[in-house]
Amino acid sequence: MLTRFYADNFKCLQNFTLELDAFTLLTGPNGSGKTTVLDAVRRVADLLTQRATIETLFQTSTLTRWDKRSEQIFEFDVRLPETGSGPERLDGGLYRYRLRLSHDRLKEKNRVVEEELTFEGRRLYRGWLDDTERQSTDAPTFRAQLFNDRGREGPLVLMDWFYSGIGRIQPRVENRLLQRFRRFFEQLVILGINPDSVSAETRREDAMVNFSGDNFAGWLFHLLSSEALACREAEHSLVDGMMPELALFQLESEGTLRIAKAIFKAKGEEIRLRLDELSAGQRAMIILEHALAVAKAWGGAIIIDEPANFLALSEIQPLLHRIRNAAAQGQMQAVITSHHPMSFDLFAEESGRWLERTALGATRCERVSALAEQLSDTEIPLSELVARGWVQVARGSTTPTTQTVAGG
Amino acid sequence: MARACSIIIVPEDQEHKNLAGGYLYERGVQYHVAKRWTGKNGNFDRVREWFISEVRLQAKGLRKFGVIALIDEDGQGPAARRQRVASELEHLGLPSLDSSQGRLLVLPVRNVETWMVWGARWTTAGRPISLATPVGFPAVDEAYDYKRWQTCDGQSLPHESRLDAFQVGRAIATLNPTAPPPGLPPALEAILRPWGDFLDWARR
Repeated sequence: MLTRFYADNFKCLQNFTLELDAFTLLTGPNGSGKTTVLDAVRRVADLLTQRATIETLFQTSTLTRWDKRSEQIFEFDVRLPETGSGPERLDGGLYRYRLRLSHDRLKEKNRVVEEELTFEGRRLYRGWLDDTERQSTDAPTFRAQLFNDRGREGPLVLMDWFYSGIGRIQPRVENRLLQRFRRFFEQLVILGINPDSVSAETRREDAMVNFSGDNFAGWLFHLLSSEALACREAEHSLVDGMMPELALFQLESEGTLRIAKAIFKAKGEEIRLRLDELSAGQRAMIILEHALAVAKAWGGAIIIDEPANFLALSEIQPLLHRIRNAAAQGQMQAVITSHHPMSFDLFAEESGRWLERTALGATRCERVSALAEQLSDTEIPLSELVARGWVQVARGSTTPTTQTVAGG
Repeated sequence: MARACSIIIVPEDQEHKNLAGGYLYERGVQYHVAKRWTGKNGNFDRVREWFISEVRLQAKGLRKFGVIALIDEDGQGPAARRQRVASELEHLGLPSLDSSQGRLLVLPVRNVETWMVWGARWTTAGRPISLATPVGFPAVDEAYDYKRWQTCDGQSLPHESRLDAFQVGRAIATLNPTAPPPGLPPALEAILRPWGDFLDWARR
């Protein structure tokens, strides 16, 4: 479970810390930085899993506009439970990951200057930019010190500063803790579904769904062989909820092409509809259901930007409850962003984080529970105050509150 | 925060919401509706409870805001309805009803449709506002139920046009509380000054 995320000098995130629970609702006004948090997590996850290099993930334009510093820092705390038994057993415990990047603003170049991973306080990996040989080679080198699972030093190797060293280390028996950390990010599902971009066709398997869900067909291609049970569970959830007449959701072959289709049966009739022929809400729900089922199967984490978007009002509460309950039962971790009043009233008090920023200010984040306390003796739901624009983090305050604003 | 509202409307139903909305729209004031009705209509108790919650929140002093509750008198007597709210506020140790302190109770007698019928008649007569002008339209009777088109003893009334509640609210906002035009329903005339005081307070 991701328990803490820290970012500094990334877009509107400046010295920003977010503490996360099994279920966390991120909320706040437009432009407060909710999606930026997801974006930062996604980029670091992509770096750790070798999906891209820092040249494409952390361009100079991602530096905070008003910050003159040229370094970006990202940190994750991830607590994972004990797994396996016998020789396969892995201890449960806390991983701490730190990534420091430097940018050359003029040349628009960037590189990793430090990367470190510890588990329960002992090092598993440390990479750093080494300037000591600069005089002889006219260029610094990026070195990485490897450690085994017990924290004992292994070989010192050279690495490429455009990549995460952790992502490039070959799996070995002695670095299973590091592999588990990397797998957590390989299985981290981050979604901000845009149904219009979702294609029904694919020619290849994709190990992970993209943020917009556009490659869902490719992901489904992969899941049908690797997580067939989860796909079946997703199908059942769709039948139980939004699509009672759904008989099957499958990939059909046309040569090398695979096409995602929903097969509906009603009154003896069978209708086959391509994924891109379904409504935006149906497409969104299909992707959400698969993502939730897979996240549960993996026991991993899922981060969803505005899950209530595109869904009918009657679909929202059941979906939110299922996400929250699965998280509460320890089946997965869920972080959602939402503006929806229903999600705010249902979850903000126990799990809400209020994000806020001014136009030229950094994002600030506070727990919503303190605000709920102020309203405990009224019938007014929290969402009412949000809708009135009364919730804001007071300057210098540690809690979100309703602030006095003079005038009408 | 880009958009923050400092006037909250607690209406009994859509017509009340539109009436208050029209008034505030005409006066150029932003408002927020605390929707409380469950179907087409709400009822006195629901509005009263919500209004008291708003007053409780207002009393915390976290933010300056005014609250307007709108409830039909429904033949119960305006004084009785007002007293019910006032005594409950007093019982709970909350601030009293006071339009000049941001707590306004609007009680159309017998219901908001009375004002809508007045609005239609007044508009048809050319919207006379001069006190010197004789009333050029028949006055509405507050004992009548213009919602169900019945007199107080249950006799049917002929149906006639009603001005949209939003337009009634806009019209009310243009009236001079110190020199109201002739032919106003008494409950409407009585609310002009408190409503003006309320807005003055909200704008201070």
